[in-house]
Amino acid sequence: MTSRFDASRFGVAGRATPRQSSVFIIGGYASVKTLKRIVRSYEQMQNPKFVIALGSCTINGGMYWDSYNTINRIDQYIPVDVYITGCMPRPEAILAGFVKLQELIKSGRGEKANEYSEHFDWYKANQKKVIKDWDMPDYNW
Amino acid sequence: MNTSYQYSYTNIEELLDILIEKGLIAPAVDQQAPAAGDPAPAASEQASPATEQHGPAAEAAPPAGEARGPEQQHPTAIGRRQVQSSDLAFVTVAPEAARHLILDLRDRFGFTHLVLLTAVDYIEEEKFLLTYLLHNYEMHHDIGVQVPIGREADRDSAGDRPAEANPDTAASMESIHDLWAQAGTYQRELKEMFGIDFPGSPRVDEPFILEGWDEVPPMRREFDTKQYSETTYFPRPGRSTNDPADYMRQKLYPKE
Repeated sequence: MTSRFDASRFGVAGRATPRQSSVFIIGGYASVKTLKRIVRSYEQMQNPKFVIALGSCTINGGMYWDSYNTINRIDQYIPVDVYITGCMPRPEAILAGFVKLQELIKSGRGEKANEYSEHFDWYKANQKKVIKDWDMPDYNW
Repeated sequence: MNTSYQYSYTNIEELLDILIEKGLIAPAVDQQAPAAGDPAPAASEQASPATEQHGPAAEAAPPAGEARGPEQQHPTAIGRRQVQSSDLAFVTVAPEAARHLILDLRDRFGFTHLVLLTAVDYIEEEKFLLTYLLHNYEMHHDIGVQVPIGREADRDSAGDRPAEANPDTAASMESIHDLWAQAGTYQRELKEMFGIDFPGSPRVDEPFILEGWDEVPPMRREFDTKQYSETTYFPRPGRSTNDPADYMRQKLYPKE
């Protein structure tokens, strides 16, 4: 998202750390090793928080659907608010996704982060099914 | 002509001839191999007796004609050599002769750069074929040293070497991390992806890309990647694929 597309006119700006961010973009295929870091980063984010799944790989595995090391659906491990299709999505699609997310929040439907705590055991079971060397803290909030 | 190394050569065929002359690779391949003995130990012995043993056999072999030449042999056959192009050749040597050959290529022939170290799984032959690709910066030549080794994991899940481990069938190879430091990384990768052990190589037992992998190493051909993916991850229902050739045919020639 370079200056040519000027994401800041939609109020989109990068932050240095997950702890300061409210939107988490999963920007492509996630290996099991990456998923571990995704879960860790997601759990460190402050509420309200939202997840955008960017590209085919995060939605159904994309071209890595039969890989031994790449997860197929990110929404089985963390809740996703907005899916942006494409491989790769155009910059306009990303901005449209942000606009869609803003609409969802305004209409009160951007509450997927609550699902994470409601179905915490289900998410944790899915995460631990693939992350076999679990060495992260088990939050229980 | 390279000059700053002990042995100089002008083209890649000449290089292979010098290697045979020095006894670094087996000269006569399968034709006269039974008469001349096993070529593998001969390759690791001194140069002069090997040349004497194999010299007459190699001269007598080509007129016979019915046996397969070195180029047509299976890649895992020791003694196979193939000149792929004017700057690329492959030779297959026994595991115990490989290090000697690689070291001589590096220090006496000018192949100072290790391009890559990889493995091919020939499951039908129950062999892995390690390939050490070396590059000569003066001549801009590459030579691939191919080494067939067994493919049985020689350590159990606890990491212990079982007492009955057979050195001929174990997936294990001498480490070359002391010749090129970066070989240690390749060997770590081969340990993780193929289960090939390199005893003594630094951090060879640590996970490299995979974390907490407890299955068959994923690049072995007995590992069913698709089945593993379907049972481990969550395939999205309703996903369909088109064979591009079929799809194009349908679109272009719908009546056929």
